[in-house]
Amino acid sequence: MGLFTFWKNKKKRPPKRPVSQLWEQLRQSSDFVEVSFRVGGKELSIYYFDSLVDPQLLQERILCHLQNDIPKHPDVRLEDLQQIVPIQRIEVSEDTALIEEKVLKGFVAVTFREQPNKAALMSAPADNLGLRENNDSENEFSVVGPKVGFIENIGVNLHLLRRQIAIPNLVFREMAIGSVSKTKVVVAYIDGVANPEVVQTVTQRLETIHFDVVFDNAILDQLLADNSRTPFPLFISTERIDRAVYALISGQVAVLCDGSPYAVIGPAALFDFFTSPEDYYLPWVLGSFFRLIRFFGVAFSVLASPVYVAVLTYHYEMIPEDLLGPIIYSRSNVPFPPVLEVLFLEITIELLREAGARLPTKVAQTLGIVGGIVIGQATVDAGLTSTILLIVVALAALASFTTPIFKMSNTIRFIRFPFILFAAGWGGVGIAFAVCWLLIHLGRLQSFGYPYLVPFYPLRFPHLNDTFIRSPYSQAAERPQFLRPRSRFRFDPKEAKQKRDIDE
Amino acid sequence: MRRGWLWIGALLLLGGCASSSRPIDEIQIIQEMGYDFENGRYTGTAVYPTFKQGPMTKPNLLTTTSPTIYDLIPRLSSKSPLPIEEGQLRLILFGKEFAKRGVTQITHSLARNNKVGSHLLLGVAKGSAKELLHITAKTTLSDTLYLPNLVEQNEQSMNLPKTNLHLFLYRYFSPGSDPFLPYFEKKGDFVKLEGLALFRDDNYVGHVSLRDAFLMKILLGETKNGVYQLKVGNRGKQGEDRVMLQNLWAKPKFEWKRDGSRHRLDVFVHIHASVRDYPSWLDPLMGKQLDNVKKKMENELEHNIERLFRYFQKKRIDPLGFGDFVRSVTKHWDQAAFYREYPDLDIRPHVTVDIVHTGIGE
Repeated sequence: MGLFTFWKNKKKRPPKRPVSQLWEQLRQSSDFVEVSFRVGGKELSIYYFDSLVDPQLLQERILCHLQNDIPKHPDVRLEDLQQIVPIQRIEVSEDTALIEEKVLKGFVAVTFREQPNKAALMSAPADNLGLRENNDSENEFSVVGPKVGFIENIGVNLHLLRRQIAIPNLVFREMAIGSVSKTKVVVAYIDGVANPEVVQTVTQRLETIHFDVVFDNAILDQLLADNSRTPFPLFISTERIDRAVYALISGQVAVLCDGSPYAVIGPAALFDFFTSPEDYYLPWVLGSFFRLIRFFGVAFSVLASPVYVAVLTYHYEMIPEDLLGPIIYSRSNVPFPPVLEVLFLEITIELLREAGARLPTKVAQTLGIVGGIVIGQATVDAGLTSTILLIVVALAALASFTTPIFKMSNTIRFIRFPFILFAAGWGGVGIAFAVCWLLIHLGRLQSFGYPYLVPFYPLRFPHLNDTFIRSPYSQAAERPQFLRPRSRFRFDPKEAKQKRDIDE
Repeated sequence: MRRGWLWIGALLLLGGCASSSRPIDEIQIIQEMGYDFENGRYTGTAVYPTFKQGPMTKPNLLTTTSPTIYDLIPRLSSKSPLPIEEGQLRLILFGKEFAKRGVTQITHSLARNNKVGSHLLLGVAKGSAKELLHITAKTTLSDTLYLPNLVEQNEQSMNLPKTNLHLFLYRYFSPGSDPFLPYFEKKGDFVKLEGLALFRDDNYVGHVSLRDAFLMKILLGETKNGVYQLKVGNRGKQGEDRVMLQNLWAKPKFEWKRDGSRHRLDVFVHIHASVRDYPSWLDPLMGKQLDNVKKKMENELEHNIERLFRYFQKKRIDPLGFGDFVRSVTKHWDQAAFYREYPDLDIRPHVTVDIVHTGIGE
């Protein structure tokens, strides 16, 4: 608490603080630069942070023009600097808070001696300094389709969005969040498509956030969430531009944040997390097939090891007669009950995954091989687990990777454990109970106030054509109506269905 | 948070209500069970697989005797190192003597047992079930399920009509039909499927051959499979006068008529069959000869079916469920009255044979 009250107090300081006091405070830092000089009878000072400003811009655009052109206009005032300095949007302000904010974001403040309480703020930030240039999408890979992704620089990200949505309706609403970081956060939506209610909800929630440093969009994601106790991600976070653009044209709202290569998209429904942009790049039959495989993978991943536990502990009756031999034989040397066996292996795989994620890529590969092959083989040889379980668990782990959104695949990893415990306690009844619990929980979730389990709860038939299967584009003209978009169709549905071949 | 603890507490308490766990490697799974009655005592034989040497199974037997039936499994337990579980039972074999005394005690208990599937097979052994199970355990090296596989194979591609616990119970409880089961016999060191054992209520009363089982299979409305040999002439050497008929598709139709003071049941059977093997003198492509052969086949089939009906009527059993059919077409069907009339009922078979293919021509 103590730490935060300090910043809060600062924020509540009376705004009528003279600018000189600000300079006094900033001078404590060694990278704060203050240069005063005389040009053509004017005494002017420039203030900036060495670490934030691009020195080339500063020399070529600001210093050069100030030194050369001011002597030609002896009566120049701060407000007239726009005529001299070729820098866009020069702001002149008396507001100390604004000056402080801008200077801390890489602006150069210019003051004249005659107007000591006013400063002209010129933007010369070193935007790309220290940020990566390469914008391949690294974590959401697809074979077909563009590989460009968002990067840490929000300016680039906005540019990428605007490049694909070339209509005036694309609106970026900017705000600064974080009492310390003052991170630039942009709410993007398409006016006339997105429901204004959603936009209002998003902006309202963003405005009421009290936080110090926004490290990543993932933090905003959590702060925006309707329910913070659920393991399920309530918003899609993606680094793919096509995905973000698709969401925008469907009437969803994207939140971008400086310093984060992810866009947070909402309102999202559960089934959005299992669609991949690749579904739309492949012919619809293939896209639908792969999507169904993905759903199967999720169900398998969640249920495989619990079912193993339940069947081997309680329901030996339902093992097919041909499977009885292999299962009993492979279990006969295992000293643990099936639950412990499963937990042991599941946790081993989670450890491998966690260790693989924390290590540098090259070491991680070795670790995968050592862990996967050596440990797997050795545990079976040592009689700690059965071979069949090893296959089941490995398949379940594999299946959980098919989820395109990383946050959802984490959730699936997690969900499995309560299922295993329920299966161990009550067998098949326990699994049924856990499934019911999961469905009830999902049914109650909301994303920006919109139902999470749509189109199943509430049931929305037209939207089913883009849930389990991916319908052909001639059928996909309608935007998902549960988002209550302002405009109903993405393109003319009648024209889309027409065949234009001359055929007589 | 208090609610969370309440949940966890409730779950923990509820955990005590779970049925006790039986991990699969800590139970003795029995897959086949035999019941016999000898010298006033019941004998139970259980066949269980052991998996210790590899995924291949080795059938083992446990036998015990007891003056009562219910006591058999507890007595078997006293010979087994692991608790005996009957959830994977695939076949129950009754000795003939046991079956004559009635199988209700077993089937009633199975009907109520939720561990046992209704797909469980039942069968009757000529002689002792114990002996038959011993033979199967000896002749097969790795397969505990010799008998169930034997039955299933014959049901799926040969003459045996479908039987299992569910159908047995259905026919047993149904007022208009009687159950039947596969009938096994010991032939040297092998077990042979001999036909169908017929029951009145739950008592074994007789059996029919596998050849007659084909007729029963057709009359029961199982439309496919089965082979039947027919005599079509007396020319040529021995074996040269028969055709082998393979059923492709058959459909029985029943008609219940009042004929004066008596009732008459007409049974129409339409068989689409292919001729699998035929004597060399018979050229099936020649129309007239074919018609002739067809006629002979129909006559012989009708004759055999009629013989089967007489046998059922003599034994006062109704494995084909005529009673059920008549009940479905009469108001106020009276079980007792129907079966009083049954032995003298006029049942007439009418068979039509259509020969669909005859194999590759010359």
